[in-house]
Amino acid sequence: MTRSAEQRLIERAAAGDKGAGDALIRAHQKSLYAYMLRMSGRPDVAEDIVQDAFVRVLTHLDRFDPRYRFSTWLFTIAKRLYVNACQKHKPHYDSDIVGGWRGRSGAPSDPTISDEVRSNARLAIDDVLGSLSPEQREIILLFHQQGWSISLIASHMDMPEGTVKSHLHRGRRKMRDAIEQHGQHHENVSEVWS
Amino acid sequence: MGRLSDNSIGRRAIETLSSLRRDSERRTADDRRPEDLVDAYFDGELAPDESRAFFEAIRSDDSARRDYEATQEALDALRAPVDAPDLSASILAEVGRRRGWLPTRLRQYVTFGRVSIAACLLLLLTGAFLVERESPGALTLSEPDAPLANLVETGRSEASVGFRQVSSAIESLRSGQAARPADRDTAEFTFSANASERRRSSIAGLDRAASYPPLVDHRNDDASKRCDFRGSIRGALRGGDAMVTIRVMMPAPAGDRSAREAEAPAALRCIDD
Repeated sequence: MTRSAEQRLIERAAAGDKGAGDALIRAHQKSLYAYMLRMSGRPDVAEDIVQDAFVRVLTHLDRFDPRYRFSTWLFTIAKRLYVNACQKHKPHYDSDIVGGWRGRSGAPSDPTISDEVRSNARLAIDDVLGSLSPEQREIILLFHQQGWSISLIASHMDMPEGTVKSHLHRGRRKMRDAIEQHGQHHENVSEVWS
Repeated sequence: MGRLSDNSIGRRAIETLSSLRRDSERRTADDRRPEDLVDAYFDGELAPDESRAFFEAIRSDDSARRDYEATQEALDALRAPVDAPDLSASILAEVGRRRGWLPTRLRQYVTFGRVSIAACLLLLLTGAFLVERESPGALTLSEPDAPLANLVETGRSEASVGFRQVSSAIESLRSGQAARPADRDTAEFTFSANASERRRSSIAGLDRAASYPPLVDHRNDDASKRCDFRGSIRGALRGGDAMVTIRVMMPAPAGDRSAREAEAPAALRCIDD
């Protein structure tokens, strides 16, 4: 969706057009949910945050500054809600829940070895995401999952671009190491079975 | 002299730093370590020709290739689509409940109206509080509650009526018209006296029991017709009605005394008659 089209939707939703509000939700709920799921590691937390963030945003559309992207505003509010939820309830990252939950979605009935390897790689990523610091996790997700630029992330997180890059590199190396260890483990298992 | 020496040291330090910066800027992609190149590639910082050089380099560098492949696999897993639930219906319903999907201008009017009503109520309550503090009772619409002494007075006068009824009830007992259980020495008579309209307003709201001290001490003066009565009265106010219960204790009849008692007149006297 182009920015101008999105801006028109926002104006219509602010004017009371429910359909425009629906379109805004449908345009962003998947990416926000994926982001919050990876951030929290818990589908129930992700669902609550997405719901609350959209309700707040759509209730206060008159406060939206059109100089910024709608998604940036939405994600900023979602992050604040997540931080508040962490302070209140201390939700812990649960890679078992994320892995099990994601495993339910569209798993092939006759998985090939490569499917299984890919699925295991996702589990390894879920594990390593839980081991990253909150800053590293957020930066990795915003950059590689949401496609935000370094400068946008720096502004969003209120930290210098160099620090953002440093977190990004460290987080990515941890992920890479996890995948390499997982690959090594897979090779060892293959040798045992061959 | 010392200042000149300091200046020359500072100048040399600045030149060294500038030289290092120039060297750093002259470095190209080819000068970077493979690990840095992998980072630069995934940061999206390599120009097209640098990317080509990067891929040429990792063909011959097993370590860099492994890094690249593992990072790519990790990022693919990270970007794997998730099965997001559709929350639009619940979100729209909640937004509708909060703001009613009204146009912004109308919503502002509604909000302004709500805030105005709340402010008026607050002002009203604050004003009432201040007036009440300055002159207590000024805002009370009904008469203040009567003191308990008035209530007792009311009870006494109404008790007189009650005792006359007790008298007739004992008369009934005496004449055998009303059965009295043989094993009981207590007779209870209950009557209801409706408070006057003036009293009603004065006792309204006092929905509580009020105990009165014993008001009666009846004693038959005639020794040949001994029949002692001791009584107490207990009143309770419920709404606008004064419910008064009178309890009269009579000694259990023994032998033919009951016949004498039956013949004895029930001389009741209320002490405040």
